[in-house]
Amino acid sequence: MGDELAGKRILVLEDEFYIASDIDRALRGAGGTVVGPFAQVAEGLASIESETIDAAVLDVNLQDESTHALADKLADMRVACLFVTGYDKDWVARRHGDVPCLTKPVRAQTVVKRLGELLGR
Amino acid sequence: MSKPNVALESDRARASGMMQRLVARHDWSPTLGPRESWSPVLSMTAEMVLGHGFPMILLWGPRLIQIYNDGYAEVLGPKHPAGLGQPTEQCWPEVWHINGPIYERVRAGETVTYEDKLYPLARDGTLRDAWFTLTYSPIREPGDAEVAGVLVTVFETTKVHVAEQERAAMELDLREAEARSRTLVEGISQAVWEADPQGQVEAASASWRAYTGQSGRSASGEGWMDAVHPDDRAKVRSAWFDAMASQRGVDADFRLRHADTRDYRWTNLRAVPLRYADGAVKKWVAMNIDIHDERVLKEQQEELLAQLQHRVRNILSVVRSVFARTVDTGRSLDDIADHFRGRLDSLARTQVGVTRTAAGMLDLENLIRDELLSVGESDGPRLVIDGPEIELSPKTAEGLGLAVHELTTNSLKYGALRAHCGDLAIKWRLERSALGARSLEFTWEEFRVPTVPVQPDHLGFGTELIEQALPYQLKATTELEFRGGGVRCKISVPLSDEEGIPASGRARGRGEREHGR
Repeated sequence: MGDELAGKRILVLEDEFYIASDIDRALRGAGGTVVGPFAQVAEGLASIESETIDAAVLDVNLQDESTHALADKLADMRVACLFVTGYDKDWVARRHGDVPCLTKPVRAQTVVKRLGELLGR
Repeated sequence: MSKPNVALESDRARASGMMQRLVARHDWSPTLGPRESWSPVLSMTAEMVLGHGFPMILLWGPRLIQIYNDGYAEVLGPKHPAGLGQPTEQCWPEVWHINGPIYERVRAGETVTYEDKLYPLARDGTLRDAWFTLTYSPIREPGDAEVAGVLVTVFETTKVHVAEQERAAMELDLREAEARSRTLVEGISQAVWEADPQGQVEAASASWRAYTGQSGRSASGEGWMDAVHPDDRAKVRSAWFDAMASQRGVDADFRLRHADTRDYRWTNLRAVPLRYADGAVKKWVAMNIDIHDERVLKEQQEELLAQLQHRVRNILSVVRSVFARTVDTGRSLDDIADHFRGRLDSLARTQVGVTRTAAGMLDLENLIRDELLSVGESDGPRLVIDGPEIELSPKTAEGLGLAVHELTTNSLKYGALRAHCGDLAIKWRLERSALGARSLEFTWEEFRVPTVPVQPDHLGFGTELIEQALPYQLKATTELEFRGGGVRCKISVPLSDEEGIPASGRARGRGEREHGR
């Protein structure tokens, strides 16, 4: 347990409960505040209207256009996004360009470490 | 008589003089009389013929007896040497219909010339076409009005003719080949067109105009790029002008406007430079081939592969999480192994079921029965399994399958399935809300199970699954009760459009499956 994410508010979008709760636990363990986790994009979209977000961990479902909308919106807001996905990086890059991306299965601690790097910690 | 003899003597001395010798040796007494008796005109004409470089034949007397030279022997082919001293009609029966009338005219005093006349000749035993330019001249005895003989001078033009025929045939072949490749190119291509060495289109081809619907004017210069899909234009432009600069040919895939369907279709553009002899580019010829269907198919395939990767990696992540949670219970290794194996098998059954059909849908009843069968249970007097045929998406099936697994495991150890000390009813139905939203209402109800006083701690995983995971990932509403008489679990799952009663299963009656409890 550390404090590499202390004071940071992190949005988590992941539709698998077990993965979401593992990431949730790891982020909290690193001192972060989790917004979510959300299984549905609509919830994520609603949250960014009302909450301050420093970073986001997104599981991108490429079949669902609304996922892209959320990712695009976060990019516009200059929120650091980390994609955690079962797709190949190429597929994510095809839609979102060269963005930080981790390929599943991934350890929750790896997500924490990468987020820390993105947030300049 | 001595003069011709002298001439004959001198000619005999020539290097090639086959006919000289044959004429000298020939017995002329039955036809023209012995050689010594020939008139001076006959002798001299014969000498002239035999010494001449062109094929010549002299036909003498009323029967037109043949005297010919080395050149004419070749024309005669197999008719030589029998043709010497033969009446010409006997020698040439196959062309007598042509020659007969000619000789009539020459005998009447006329000189007859034919250019490139076709004479089918029996050469090498077969009749072949041969062409000749011939002059038929009348020969008279001095002071005699009668024509005594016909001198035929021949120039064979067969070789010229054959060459001409071959050239014509080649030209025809070439024209056919051209037509063939043009038809082929037009058949497989959307458009064929040309551009100048700088890549500018001077005049859009008819096929380009027909395909894209552009006018000749709007397609000229770089205007043709307006028919390219806006998203692909920059890519096509740079590929095109890079190729013009490097002179290396174009091979580019992009979407091209199709006038007939008012849509864009994927095309493969190939362009190659046509060069002058010195290597300089004269112009570019370009061809577009429709690759739309292949391209769409390939994209679908890539999409499917990506989805598969997504699924496989997700399920591995889920397995990892399930494992971590199973280990976290801190129970004995055997117990952990047992539980994890059971959960892994449940996930595996869902995966197998999902991949069994192309649509990837799973039948709820099969899911439940498979789970129960895996622990040796099937419906009977104390176990009711009842509900309509309902197809579930992989995601719903995975969650529900795991829930059924946890409930079954619990029931085997502490509940209705434990030595069948109670009854179990597993039922489900489809519900439609006033707003039209459909949901699956699933219940697991145990009866008459000897009281389990407290919520069993081993249900930590199952409880979390039913009370937290299903509401989270399926937006389900759940109730889990450990009460006197057994477990009661209600799960209400909203269904997506593709889930529910399959079209083929609506008529299937299920009442007969009901077993009273």
